[in-house]
Amino acid sequence: MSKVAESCFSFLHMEVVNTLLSPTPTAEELQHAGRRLEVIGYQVGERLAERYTKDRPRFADTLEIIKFICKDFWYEIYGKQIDKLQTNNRGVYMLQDNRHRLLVRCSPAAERQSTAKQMGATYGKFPCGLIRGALCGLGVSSSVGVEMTDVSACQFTVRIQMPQPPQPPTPQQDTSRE
Amino acid sequence: MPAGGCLFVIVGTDDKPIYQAEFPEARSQRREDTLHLNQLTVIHAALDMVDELVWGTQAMYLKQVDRFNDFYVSAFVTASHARFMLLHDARNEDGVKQFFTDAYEAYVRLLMNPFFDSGAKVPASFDQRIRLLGKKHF
Repeated sequence: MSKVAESCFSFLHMEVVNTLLSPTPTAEELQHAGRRLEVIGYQVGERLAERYTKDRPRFADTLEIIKFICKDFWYEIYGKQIDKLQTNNRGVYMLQDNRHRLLVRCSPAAERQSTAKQMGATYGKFPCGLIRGALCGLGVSSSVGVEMTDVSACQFTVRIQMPQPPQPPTPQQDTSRE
Repeated sequence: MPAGGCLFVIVGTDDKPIYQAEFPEARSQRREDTLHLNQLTVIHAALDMVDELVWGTQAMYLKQVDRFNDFYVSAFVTASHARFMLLHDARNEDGVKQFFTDAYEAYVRLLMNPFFDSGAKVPASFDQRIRLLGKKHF
């Protein structure tokens, strides 16, 4: 299984984002594009998780899975680890990446400073999907959001969905038999 | 019960069997149907044992998880909780671990294929590869 040049992927990703957006994107377009990027990232993340866990022992709990994503998974994909991990111990994790590889070469145009954060967030949707796909591949269902804290720095918020106990069926009024 | 035969089943993360193969190739058709049902039931019963043992260890290879008369069921669990189950007799015990490792490698390659959806029927190339491995180890 061979490697791919990072610049190749960077250019491909930039083009994908450009194709999904018009030159002056509305908020709705940004959201739509973000969703599509996230789905692409999800499918890639599932497969990469399977591949990178191949020769390692299995994980004992969710925290170990998150730590694997912060260290080995991120290192394999982006050549660096997640810089800061925080949790509230109730299923919410914040992953901070101070120099994200997809964003490090972006600089906002002078007349578009105000929308720079929104554009950055759209770029961050693909890694969001990667994280969600990897977690799903390892058996944890979650939702992942991204926020730009600085130029080329982003923070991913992972919310683990606890499995709900099955609800007892509520008695329905049978009005159809009247 | 066929002597020296093995039944290999891959059960996916949603508890549905993705793939099954028999080594060596089944000979007579009618005999195969009744035996097949019997063996498949044993493997499904062993899935409960696997789910119990899975939390006790971090290793992937679970060795022998269950026994039925003179047949053993061995299991191998991947990080994504896909279970490889093998029903075999005592004669084929060595090489089970090696077979699982090679089958896992083939399975990872199959999953990398972007045209393969989990839950779809496995392509013939994967089937051939597993049968070659089966011939090699058993």
